[in-house]
Amino acid sequence: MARPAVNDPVAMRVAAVAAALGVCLAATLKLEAARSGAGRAPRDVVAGMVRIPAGAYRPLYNPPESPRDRSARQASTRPARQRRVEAFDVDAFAVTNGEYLAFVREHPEWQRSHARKLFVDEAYLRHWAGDLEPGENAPLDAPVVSVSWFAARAYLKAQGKQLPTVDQWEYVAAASETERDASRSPAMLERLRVWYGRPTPAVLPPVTSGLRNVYGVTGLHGLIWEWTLDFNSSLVTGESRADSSLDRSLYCGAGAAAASDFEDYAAFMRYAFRASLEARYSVPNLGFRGVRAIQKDQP
Amino acid sequence: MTRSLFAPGLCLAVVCVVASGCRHTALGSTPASETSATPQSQKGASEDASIFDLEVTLIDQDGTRARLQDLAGQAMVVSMMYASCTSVCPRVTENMKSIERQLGARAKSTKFVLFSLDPGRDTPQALRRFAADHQLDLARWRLFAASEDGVRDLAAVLDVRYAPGPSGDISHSALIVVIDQHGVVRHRQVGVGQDPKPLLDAIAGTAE
Repeated sequence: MARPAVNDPVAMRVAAVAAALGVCLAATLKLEAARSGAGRAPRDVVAGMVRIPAGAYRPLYNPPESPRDRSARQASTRPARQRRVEAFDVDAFAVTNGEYLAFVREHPEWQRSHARKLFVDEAYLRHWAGDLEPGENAPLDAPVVSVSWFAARAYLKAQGKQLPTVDQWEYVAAASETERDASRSPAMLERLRVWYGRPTPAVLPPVTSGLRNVYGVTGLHGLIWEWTLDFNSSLVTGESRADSSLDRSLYCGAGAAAASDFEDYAAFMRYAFRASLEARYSVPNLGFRGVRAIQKDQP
Repeated sequence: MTRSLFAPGLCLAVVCVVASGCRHTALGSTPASETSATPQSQKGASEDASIFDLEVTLIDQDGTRARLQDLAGQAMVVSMMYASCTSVCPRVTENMKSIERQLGARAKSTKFVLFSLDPGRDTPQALRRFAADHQLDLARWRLFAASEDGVRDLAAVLDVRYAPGPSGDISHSALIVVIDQHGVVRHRQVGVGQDPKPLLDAIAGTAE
């Protein structure tokens, strides 16, 4: 993801944490979409959304295991631990300033000067010219950013949608233009690496300008970071240090000791970025898109 | 972000920095100095924000429905836990009981509130059993469950991190939060076994 503006303390902190963590966990957190299931998903099941077929992926993070368990797993031909992801619909594009403007017109309580402090920090929509005026720094067709998790959730709730889970997001984001699972593709990883080191442009380009992946979902990479429903399940915080079971069971042991694999740098960056967020943060290159569960009576 | 940042050799040090440094503004400038800091008193970013702005429906250990706003009017000592937790929740609860004892007479005007992270299993009965097991004085203590969405929102406003695991365990922040009668977070204690003074001072401060 692009580097945040240097003069933004939250963004700097986020970037620093992300950079630090990216290294640390690089060995153990692996993303691998399932290779099962072929063919293209049906398009436009709901207007503006793309149907993502069910599958499985290997989560970013695998808990450490004892050396004995590890050798047993390595000797086994069973696929590595995978997590099932049910089919769902996802917005083809991130939510734009124009769409968000329509929302705040309808919901004045989410306008910049009215939003409650519990739900947004002082950076909320800071780049907009006014409450109802995105202005030249926020083109209507560009992704809306500097919105908090609460704000994103409120917007999507009004649309009958919700934020994707980390699993859903990572599952779709593993795809390249041609492959469902490009999470191990050196070419794809190199592109992400280059992109993550690039500064965010002052004015973001249209949401249609990013990489369009094999599912028909555009801009998951290359433009902005995106909120996830359970971003706060990335458990790397002060809280996890002293007494919760995490520090014992999750990080400092196997993860750090085995950190030597740089291939998954991009995935770690995302994990670390999420770990550094709080729900009311409004970050200049963090936007969102919606998902919708597939209703039972739908095909 | 230079190349050297990503050297594997830095890894162990970096883990600790990340663990203690997420909420500090100076991360990246002098991270080494933060490795020894005990983050027992991290002010929430939402100092002027009231948690009572959050609309969430709760159900307590007696099966009584309540809104979060109904808790306004008294200082609260709050944590999030789940009843079947065997690792840190009992210690957090014991820590809160110890605070209750140390408050002495002031405990009467303070509420002790546990929000469940486990909407699936923490029924009123399960919460009541937890209260009994820990001998919580239900005149002062209330245990609440909420919907999955409600838990998500509560965890978000309290900045509690949690991750349900495949075994049914929920990894989560060990956190004790002091909230004043207006819903403003006055203190966050991270971890248990900390010096209780800052937390006790924060409770005393809510009366001012």
